[in-house]
Amino acid sequence: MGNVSDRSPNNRSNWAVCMLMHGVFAFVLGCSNEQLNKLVEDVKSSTDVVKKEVQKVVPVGSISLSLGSQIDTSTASCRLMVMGDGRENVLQIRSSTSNSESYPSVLFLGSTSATSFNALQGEKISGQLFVQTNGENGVWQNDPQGKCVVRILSIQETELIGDIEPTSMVNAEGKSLVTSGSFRAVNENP
Amino acid sequence: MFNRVTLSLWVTVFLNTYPLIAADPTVKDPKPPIPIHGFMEESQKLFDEASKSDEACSALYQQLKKGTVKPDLVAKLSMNVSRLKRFANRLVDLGEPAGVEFMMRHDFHELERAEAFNALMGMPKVQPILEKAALALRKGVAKRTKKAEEALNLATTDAIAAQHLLDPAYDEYESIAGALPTGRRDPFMELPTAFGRIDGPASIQRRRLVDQAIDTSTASFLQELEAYLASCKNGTTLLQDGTIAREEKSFTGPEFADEIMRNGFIMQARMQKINAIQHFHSRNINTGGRNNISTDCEAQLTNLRENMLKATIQLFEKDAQNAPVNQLVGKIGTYAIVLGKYVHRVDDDQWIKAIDDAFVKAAARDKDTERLVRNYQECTSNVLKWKERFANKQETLLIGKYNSLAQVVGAATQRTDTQPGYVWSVSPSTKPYPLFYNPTHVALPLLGEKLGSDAPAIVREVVRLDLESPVWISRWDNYVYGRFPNDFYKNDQASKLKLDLMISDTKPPLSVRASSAVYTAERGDGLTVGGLVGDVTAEGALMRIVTTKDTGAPFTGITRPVAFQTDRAVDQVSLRANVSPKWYRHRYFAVAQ
Repeated sequence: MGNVSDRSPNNRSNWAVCMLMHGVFAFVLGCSNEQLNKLVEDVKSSTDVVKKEVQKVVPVGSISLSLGSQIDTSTASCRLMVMGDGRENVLQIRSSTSNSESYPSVLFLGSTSATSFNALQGEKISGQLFVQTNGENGVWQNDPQGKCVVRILSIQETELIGDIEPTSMVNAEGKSLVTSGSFRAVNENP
Repeated sequence: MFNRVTLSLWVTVFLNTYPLIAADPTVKDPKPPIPIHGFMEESQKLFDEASKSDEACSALYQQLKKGTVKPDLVAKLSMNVSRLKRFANRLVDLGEPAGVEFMMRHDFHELERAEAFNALMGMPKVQPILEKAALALRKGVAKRTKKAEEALNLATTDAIAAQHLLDPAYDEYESIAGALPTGRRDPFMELPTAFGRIDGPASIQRRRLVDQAIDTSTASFLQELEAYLASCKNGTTLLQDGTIAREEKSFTGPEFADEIMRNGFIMQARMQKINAIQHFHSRNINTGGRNNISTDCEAQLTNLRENMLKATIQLFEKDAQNAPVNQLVGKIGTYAIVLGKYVHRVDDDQWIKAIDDAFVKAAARDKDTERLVRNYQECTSNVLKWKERFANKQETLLIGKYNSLAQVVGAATQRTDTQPGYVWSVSPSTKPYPLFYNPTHVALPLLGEKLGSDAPAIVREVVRLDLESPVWISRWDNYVYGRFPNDFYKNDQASKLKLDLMISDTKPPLSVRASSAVYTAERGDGLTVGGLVGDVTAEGALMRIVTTKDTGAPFTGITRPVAFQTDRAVDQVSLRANVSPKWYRHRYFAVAQ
């Protein structure tokens, strides 16, 4: 799922792409054969670099939900919060770690007895789900009479992959919808 | 203000529209006069006497309307009208809004008196009556002259005592002279003349006494404030082995933090009170001196808040430092519970952030504790953020087209020239506020008519000042506040919050953000209530603030001093509306009928 997007903090891959584009321009503008050969060599080696960088690009995660219409967040991260004083630990999955909001925005908080990230594998975790579809309106939470259940299907390196089971959601107008979906969430403290 | 021209204009209006007493002789005086704040001791006696005269005026007028016009009743009415005026003026000197209201009532009774007097003069056999009265007055010349002299002498040292001396004699005089037209009275003016020379000095004397009392109260309060601020600083140094000894009592750190906060809010309330009291200091009347009061007060309020926060955080930090590691979480939890009772009173979460950060910092001594506190704060603050977002949406929908209580009542009190009977708002060159323009027992029924029954309105910052109180009140907002039962708080929201915030009897909150959420939910205190407006009662604005209870900081607010719009704060009215609530919004949830 990893895309080379401008959100990637990886400067080297950006540089590599830049080099590639310069190479293309130089080619289009026309140069001598010798110059061209050297350029092609340079571009080839930087392409290799690019290929390697592409393989190492950091995942950004996403959450997909159907809530009336389809909602897809462009990032998602998670954190297992160990309490350690007898309180249950908390798995938090959220669409954004930034303080400034971007939409759609999703938050899941659920209780678990798992004490490590890897121990989440195969767990069913129940808790609360909050969704805001856009900046103006569309604030939803799971029906207070019920819960939201997520299933952790697998863990791939730093990503938690799972499903959100059908959950009854309500909004401030009292409208009710069932949501379900899936997520890939990147561990915030690997 | 009410002057002679307006008065004569109003005679016609009054006689045509004054509905209550003229139309229905069986209606008793429908509303008692507004209460006094009683800052000066003399106020109570003046209030009692003025009330008596006010009632007597009404009763006598009704009697006169029913039966034949008797001269002694007319004179007695005149006596009570003049008494009412004397005591009303003295109450105004003492900074009592009740004095202004009595003046309004006096002005109406004066119209009644004039009506009755004219009826008397119009009687066929009036001459013998007048002769009789004049004769009685002539008999008393010597006695009255002596009394006048005595009073004038006394007035050189104590004009107030001179007034007290003259009062009974004047009443006796007026209960005869009141039946005489001005011309027939002229030879017998010993006592009115004496009063004419004494009232001025007595007014000055009263205002000086008031000024002294205000200065004394202020000085005494400032001393208390100093002592309080000193005790805040001492807390940290006095903390030995987790306890503080003070005045033969022993406090734990959290108990002392509770004391700092509780007493700090008492100081906040008293500061608002002293600020209000400054408004009837003679240097502030008609001089615009209020600007200085407000600036000082605002700076003082801010300074007080900053000290409260600093003192409690420093106390916590020291206490936490000295605690054994295995007690650190418990300590944080205890402080969270104690401080969670107060933090929501300060705008913009400033206190919440500062204190919760201090908890994390203190926890850094121990890896596991730090992890617990950080994780607890992160997940609870996220869940609260979203609940607040949801509640914001709910509130917007619930508010719909409701206006604030201040706007609703304000609109109903706007004066229009065709309807003069209202408690009146000033035109918007200044911010509108309700003024006495009529006695409340005339204005309020008309206000009620204009409001209608069940006008929808919202009120904000709702709180029960004391747990024993059956009613909640809203923050004073431009001279208006609401009062209502809040049955909505008996809901399961507080226990649900506790579950969401992982709080139980054995697991305390580890942030004040969490603990204040639960505290306010359990108390039923909240941000907004929407409901239907019922009865409106008037009080003096000054009186409302001068009688602020020690628990009253949430009512006046603590960020800014209560501002009175013009120099003569005694003229300003506070309106209290009973509200029957339809919905209630707590910061983190909303409940509707």
